[in-house]
Amino acid sequence: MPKLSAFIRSAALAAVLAGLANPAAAGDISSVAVPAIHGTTPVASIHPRPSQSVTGRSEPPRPVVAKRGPSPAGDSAAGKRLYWHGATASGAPLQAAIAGDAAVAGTQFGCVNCHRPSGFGSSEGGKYVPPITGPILFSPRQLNRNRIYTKLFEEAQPAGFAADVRMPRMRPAYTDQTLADALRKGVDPAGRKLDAQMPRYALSDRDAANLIAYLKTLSAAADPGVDAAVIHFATVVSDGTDPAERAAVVSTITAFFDWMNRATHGYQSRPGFSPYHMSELASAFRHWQLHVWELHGPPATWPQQIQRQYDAQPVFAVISGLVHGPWRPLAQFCDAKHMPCVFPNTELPRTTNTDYAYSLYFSRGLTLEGEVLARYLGRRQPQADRIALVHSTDPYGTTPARAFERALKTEQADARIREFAFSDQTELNAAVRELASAAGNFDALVLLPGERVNAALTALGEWRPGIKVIGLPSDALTSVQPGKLGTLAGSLLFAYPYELPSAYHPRSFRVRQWMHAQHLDIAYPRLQFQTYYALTMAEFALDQILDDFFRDYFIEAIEHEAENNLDIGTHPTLALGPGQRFASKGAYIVRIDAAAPGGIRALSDWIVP
Amino acid sequence: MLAFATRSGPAFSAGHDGMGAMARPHHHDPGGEMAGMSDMSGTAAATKYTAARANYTVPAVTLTDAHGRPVRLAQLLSQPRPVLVQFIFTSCTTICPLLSTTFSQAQAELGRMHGDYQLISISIDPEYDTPERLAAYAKRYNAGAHWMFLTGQAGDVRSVMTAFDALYQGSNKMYHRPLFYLRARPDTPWLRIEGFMQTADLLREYHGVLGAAGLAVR
Ligand code: HEC
Repeated sequence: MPKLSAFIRSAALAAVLAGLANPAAAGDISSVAVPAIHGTTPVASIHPRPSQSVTGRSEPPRPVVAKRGPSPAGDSAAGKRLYWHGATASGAPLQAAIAGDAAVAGTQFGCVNCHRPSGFGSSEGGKYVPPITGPILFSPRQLNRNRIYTKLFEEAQPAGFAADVRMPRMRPAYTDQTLADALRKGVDPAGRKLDAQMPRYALSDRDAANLIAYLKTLSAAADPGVDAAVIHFATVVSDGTDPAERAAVVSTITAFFDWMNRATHGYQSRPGFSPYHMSELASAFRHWQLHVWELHGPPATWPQQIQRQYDAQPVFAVISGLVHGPWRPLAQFCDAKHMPCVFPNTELPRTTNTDYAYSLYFSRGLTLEGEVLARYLGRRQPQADRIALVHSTDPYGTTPARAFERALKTEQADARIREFAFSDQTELNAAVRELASAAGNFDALVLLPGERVNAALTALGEWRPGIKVIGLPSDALTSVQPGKLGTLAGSLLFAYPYELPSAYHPRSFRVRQWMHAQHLDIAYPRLQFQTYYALTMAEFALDQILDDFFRDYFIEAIEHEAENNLDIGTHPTLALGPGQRFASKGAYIVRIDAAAPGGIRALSDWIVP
Repeated sequence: MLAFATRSGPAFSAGHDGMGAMARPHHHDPGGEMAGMSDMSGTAAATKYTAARANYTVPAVTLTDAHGRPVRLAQLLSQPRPVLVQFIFTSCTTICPLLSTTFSQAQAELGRMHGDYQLISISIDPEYDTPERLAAYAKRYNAGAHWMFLTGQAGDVRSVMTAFDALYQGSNKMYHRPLFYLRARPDTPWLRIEGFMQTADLLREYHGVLGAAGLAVR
């Protein structure tokens, strides 16, 4: 692993780790031989800021006093609702107080907001939130050098953060009683007062019991697909995909796995491997094992097929892939298994109920394209309000057509859409011919040819409907031959949910270099770059989670890493946030222009519908 | 910056912009430098923040509010009333709940102290934070009539963040910083506050900002 090996060279790091290795010194800042960036004096005493009140309105929280005696048996499903949504058993809003302020009721202090779905915590905005998984809470706190290591050295954090993370804060294991006390009164079992940013909750006995029952299960059982030596990943490819594209995707994945495994093995067998700290980090190294899951037949049968593969060898996550047909059945599988499915190459992602779901996508695909076409036409001056919508009845045609209609209605309530659906070439030709003879009745034509891109372009070339604006999805752009369209070519515009060819992304150059070094033929740059991106997300996420191989934690790491300047140039920006599932959110409208770089020119700004 | 002060209970190392000094080594840069990665000063503190007076030039951008209406930021900020600004994003964890709760809890008291005022939360994740998402966020924090939520074109938001010296490390919004900006009138400087405040701290700072501008405070 290139990154870890780079770190060993750092003398500063060795010094810090030496400090960490000695618990007595770990909290002692001055013992760490790292050059200070600025000459300030560290202050050792820590006491929470007393609650001050200008107005007299702020009161310290009034914790509900737990009645002693047998506590109710907890219901962990109810506890999970509390963890995620602040939902209490009685239905009353959860009451919490932060930073010594008056208590607030509401959902914003659901535990998930800070401790995340996995329970491993977070470090957003320079605030270190500790892990509260079952195994961690119910055992004595120890210094986990590895967890601390990534937090300290791989994240840019403000002053104070480092010391915050490195503080050993030893405490005994929690019991149900001490955990309830911590949640209500903010005191840990060692008697230490918790940071004021950890809310103090007014929990009923039942809610406390439910929550504790859930915390006991949180990231408690190992997730499948990992053993002491190997981490298993799958990728999916289906019938109906272009064999050359599919080969390009699979060969990129294979090359990446080989490269990762060479780096890991080369590193482990290097003489001198095993300085104290690195041997601990080595517990995070796994051989990456790839499984190519091939899917045949109709998409509705994919889940059973994939289940058989999964039963034969469970994988930790699915990375990339190329399928023909809607991703939805696979999305459902990933959700049912709580298994991350990371950046598949698909134009038909599932676009509903996606927050915190287990599939992560580049964009909303053809749904996005339909919406962006509607936004562009809907806001054009003079308005295009008489619109012909010609679409195929396969999912590649109906998906953007439905999205287009929906979005146009919100842009222009009075827009008139005349819809022509076709299921074969004869119907397609008839529709285009009819439009050509009635072109004067329409301000715009939106043609969503689904799987019949070439047939649609041929029909356009033959009948040449004299409509001033003809909108098409991006995949028509690769097949269009302007020479065969005459002046009509000037009327065509395309949704384009990608970066423009004229843009410069320094990283795309490095990805190319990497591919050349692996002797990969770059026949399908966008597809292969996207595949590479999916792979690097998995790599970086594993670097973050080290040997805490939990799938939710892995996804959280990807949400975080997606934005770290890793753009590969396929999209203007790729970024996720907590729970977000589409890394790129908009599209351009472009037209053909032989003189422009890449043969296209943008007619619009980046449109985010 | 005109003045710099640390406000915190325990004495604390201040005057340092921690984020700016740190660099995240790139994974694929073999031999990436470690220098500047280790900030060993400072220590954990419960609530601590730093405050500094500053002047900012607001760019001429048009943003969008939670109702989908265009808002010219410079015009909004040129109105003669106190403003309080923060940067948030709706899917943000950990820090935004704290930042927005502070605004939420301060609302009533801000109104009592001076009557007219404007709270502004600007999304730093504008492509995800559609007006609908902002409206839902506003509801979650019981936002009243004086609290406006803004999104916009990514480039425009970035120029606002640049103007307010609010950019974070490596362009990753997850490293975003807890910042508040307070100003009494268009002709007085901003008070820029970095760190976590209790509502009472915010109200005290606001009181000070209005007082320094000679505004009547109840
Ligand atoms: C606004 C952010 C935030 C929210 C919401 C939050 N926590 Fe915390 N939590 C923290 C921080 C910060 C700490 C570290 C406090 C410290 O160590 O001083 C913490 C510490 C803890 C600890 C102590 C861990 C230990 O090892 O001693 C427990 C237990 C805990 N939280 C449970 C919860 C539960 C359960 C919820 C939901 C009911 C919750 N937290 C909600 C921020 C939060």
